Amino acid sequence: MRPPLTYLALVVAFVALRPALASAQAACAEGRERDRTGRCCWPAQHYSVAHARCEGVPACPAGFAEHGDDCVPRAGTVFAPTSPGTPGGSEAPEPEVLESASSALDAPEAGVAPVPPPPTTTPDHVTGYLPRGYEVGVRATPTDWPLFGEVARVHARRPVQTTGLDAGLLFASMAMHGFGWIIGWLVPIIDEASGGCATAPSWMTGSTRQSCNSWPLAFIPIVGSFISGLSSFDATRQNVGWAYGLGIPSMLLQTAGLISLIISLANTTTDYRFDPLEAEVGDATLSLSFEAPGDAGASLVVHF
Amino acid sequence: MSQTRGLCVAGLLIFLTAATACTHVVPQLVAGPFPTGDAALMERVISVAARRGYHAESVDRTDGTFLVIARADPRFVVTFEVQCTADGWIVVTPRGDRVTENEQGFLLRGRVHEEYLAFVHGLQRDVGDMTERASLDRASE
Repeated sequence: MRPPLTYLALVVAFVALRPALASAQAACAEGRERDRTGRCCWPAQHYSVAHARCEGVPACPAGFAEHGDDCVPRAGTVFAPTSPGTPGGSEAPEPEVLESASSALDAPEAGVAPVPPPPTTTPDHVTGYLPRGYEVGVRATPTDWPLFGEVARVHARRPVQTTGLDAGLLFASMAMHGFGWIIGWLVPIIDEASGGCATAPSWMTGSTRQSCNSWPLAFIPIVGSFISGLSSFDATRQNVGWAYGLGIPSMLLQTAGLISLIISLANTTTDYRFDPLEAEVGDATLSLSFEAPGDAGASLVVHF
Repeated sequence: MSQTRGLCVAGLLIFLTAATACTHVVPQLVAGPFPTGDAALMERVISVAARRGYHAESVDRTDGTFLVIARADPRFVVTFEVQCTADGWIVVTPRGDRVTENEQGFLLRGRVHEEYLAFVHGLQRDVGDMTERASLDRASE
């Protein structure tokens, strides 16, 4: 049996350590909660010891949006620097996120120290959001990143979406329609060359072959060649085979081409063109052109 | 013998024609320029990529890079390497199976080139929108 003094010491130690424990419990970044392992994760997540991170689909609190296994503040959220030594679900520091810096300062939650304003050496605030590892004043600065000229290829371009007619379909439709029209013209040409008509029925004596004189009908779109191959003026038609053999395929091709043409004109298609790169510097616009002749194969054009 | 040779030549020509028809030369594509020194640029890019269904892999915030995996043709592993630059550009480089580079750009097969174009164009538009919104929010405060 332990002496009463031991119990007394335990009670004193508990009372002394309680504020620190409470502070540690409340130290999760805003919106996060401690899971069973005591790690700070987003609601509905659990901490994976194997992967050393919070896992699971988070139930993001108000002001945050789901982003994979993470919640990111919506645009317009204001950041403040994280208190040093804040424990979290991962080794990376977690930024404190405030819906409104002033409201958070006015009404701090019990047990949570008010978040101090950002130091004056850093920007006043950052809109959008910052990830883990980013804090105002302790961020991985973009100045560490390489410059455009160090990583971009000579042929680098910016894609610009364009909307317009489908030139390929338009051209194919016109070609099909035109091809059908040309085939159709073979009917009167053959008729004229071979004399598809006769002065009298073929069983009558003295009948001679002659032109049917129906070739102008071939100018009529689609059905012209077919009609031309069947009709005759001032003569008796002897042969209608070309009208069926070439006139009908001609009609089909012209009709298909016309339908396709209408479809291509009625619909637009999306494509991309590649724009040269420009950057605005004050009142000037710099344009980098790699096609321009020159010693370096490129030129820099400045417009004011 | 000559007939076999003729068939081989014809087959080769058909193969080359088909292979050429499926290959597209695309220049390296970039998006920008966005404000120089914008610390939130990379996160905006990752966010836009995620919104379009691309999970950022191998994220290196110090270097300003991450990868996304192209989805157009699951038979081949093609990634788009996204590089944020200090002067506000986003440079996207395709890499992986069957991606070769020449003087004009990258030879991309099948629908990967359409995905590449759409991806970079989406970055240009959506990151631009987010940056503009953030700028307006700052101005209104």
